[in-house]
Amino acid sequence: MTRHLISSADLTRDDVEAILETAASMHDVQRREVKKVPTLRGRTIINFFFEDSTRTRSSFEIAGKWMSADTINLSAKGSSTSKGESLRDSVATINAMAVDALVIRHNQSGACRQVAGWVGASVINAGDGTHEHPTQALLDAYTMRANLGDLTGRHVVIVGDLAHSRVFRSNVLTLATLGARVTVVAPPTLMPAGIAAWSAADGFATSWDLDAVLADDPPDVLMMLRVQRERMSGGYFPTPREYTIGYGLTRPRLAALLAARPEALIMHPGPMNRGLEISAEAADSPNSVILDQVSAGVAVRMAVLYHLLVGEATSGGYAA
Amino acid sequence: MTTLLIRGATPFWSGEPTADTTVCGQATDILIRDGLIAETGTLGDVRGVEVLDADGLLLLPGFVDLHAHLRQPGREDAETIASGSAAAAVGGFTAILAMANTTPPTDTAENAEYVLDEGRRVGLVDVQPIGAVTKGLAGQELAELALMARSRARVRVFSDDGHCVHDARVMRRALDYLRPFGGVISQHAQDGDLAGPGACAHEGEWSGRLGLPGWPTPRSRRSSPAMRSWRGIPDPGCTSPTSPPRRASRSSAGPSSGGSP
Ligand SMILES: [Zn+2]
Repeated sequence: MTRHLISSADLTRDDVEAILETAASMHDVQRREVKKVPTLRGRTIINFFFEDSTRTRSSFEIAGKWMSADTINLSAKGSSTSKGESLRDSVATINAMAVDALVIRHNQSGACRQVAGWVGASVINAGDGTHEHPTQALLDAYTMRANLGDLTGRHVVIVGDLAHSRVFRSNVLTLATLGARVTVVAPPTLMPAGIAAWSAADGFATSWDLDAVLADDPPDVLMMLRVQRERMSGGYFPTPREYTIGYGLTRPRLAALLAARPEALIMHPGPMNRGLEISAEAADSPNSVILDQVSAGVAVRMAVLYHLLVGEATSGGYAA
Repeated sequence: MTTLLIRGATPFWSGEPTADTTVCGQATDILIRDGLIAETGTLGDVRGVEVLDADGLLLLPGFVDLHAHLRQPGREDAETIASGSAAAAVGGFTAILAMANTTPPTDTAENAEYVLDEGRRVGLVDVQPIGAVTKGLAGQELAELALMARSRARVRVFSDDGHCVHDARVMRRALDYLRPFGGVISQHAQDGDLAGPGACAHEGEWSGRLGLPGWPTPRSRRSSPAMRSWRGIPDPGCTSPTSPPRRASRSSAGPSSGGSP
């Protein structure tokens, strides 16, 4: 396995299978009364968050703590970064403290890749700009597999602000690795540049018409992405109402989906805008696995830390 | 002045190319006296000269860089006329045209002469200032194009490079105004309104995959003011920075032979 986890493209199918398998046993740990395992005792993990995130940061923090690592949170606010220190200098300072893993969230695409070239620690991308969020894709895959089994040939539809979504970028890679069929849906203004060539090269489908996708090829998984309200001021779409009518998982759309595919999973990476991209009925329906995603997040991050920091020592097959 | 003998060089062009001439001529000796070619052909022993053995090497005319940023005055931390001249000379460029987006910009005759004089003081290559099209590169009022043209710097190329001349009317005035002295304008053909402030990559498949905010491609910019200002204005001596060199298309050895007209 790679030393860093920067992109979902870094992971082979065997890597993903190994992480998801470990995550399953970590998930069992989570259900115990005493949740600690000694695996990472004496290791130091720094969560360096240059961008606010409660759920991802706390998920990594809990994952580290349950594995007995010393976990320290740093945020850009109130740190030397807010006093004008460069990313390189901030990271060099931390590197000098000989930490084992550096979990980074940054608002610039590519920041984690750059940091990985500067430090001795394993770098884990916890979201870089509008680029990638590989542990999110792993926890999504974990949640899908827990409900559907093997994903080969399963149809996953991802809807929303694809242009600015790192969740989409990582998911489309990991889902391809696992053999799922993917269709991505968005209005043209929220499609990334060059999506036609990209989707053709990587073998996924694109559509501007959610209803047609639901009718023609009902999905096994429907993943609704968060739409930032500030996209409106950027002129990407005229009003929230128009977005919801075109691309939201509304009550009628939910009914259409479940009529065609009663076991379909409804997913959302959170935090949700209820009433914008997803209706309350959909978010709270028995088909919704949104809280399972959160729960899987800790187990998957424990598994990632395990494979990056100690995996090669125990499972032999992984090079450092 | 020194005398230099170049032995056995192959000139890239021997005279004007015609249907019969090949691109590369015969290897020849070249005697240079006082900065001028004095003799060519097979030359016997010449005494008291510096000899450069160019056997198997191509002899090329000095290159001209139409688009250099020397950053002086104002950003000497990034580049200076001296450092840019040295880099040019090492790369075979004997003349460089210095863009006007310095601080202050080259938008007056005095500023143009400063660049010219500093280039001469350094003395490695010909440094020719490019003049700004508009005052302060602000895109609103014409800079003193004629005074720059009449100055010792004899400015003939004008550009607001670094900034697009967005206003089609200003661009048209500039193109008309410089007709008497035959200058050309080089447009920085980039429309800032089309991209977000963070744009840092060509917009396309890879900016999409990497999640980087992109600059739109020329294809998607077809109807922007910048492109219209280009297309709508007839004739008066405006050259595109991308127009191909006329002679290169004759080259059978060039990488883009048979290119566009
Ligand atoms: Zn330039």
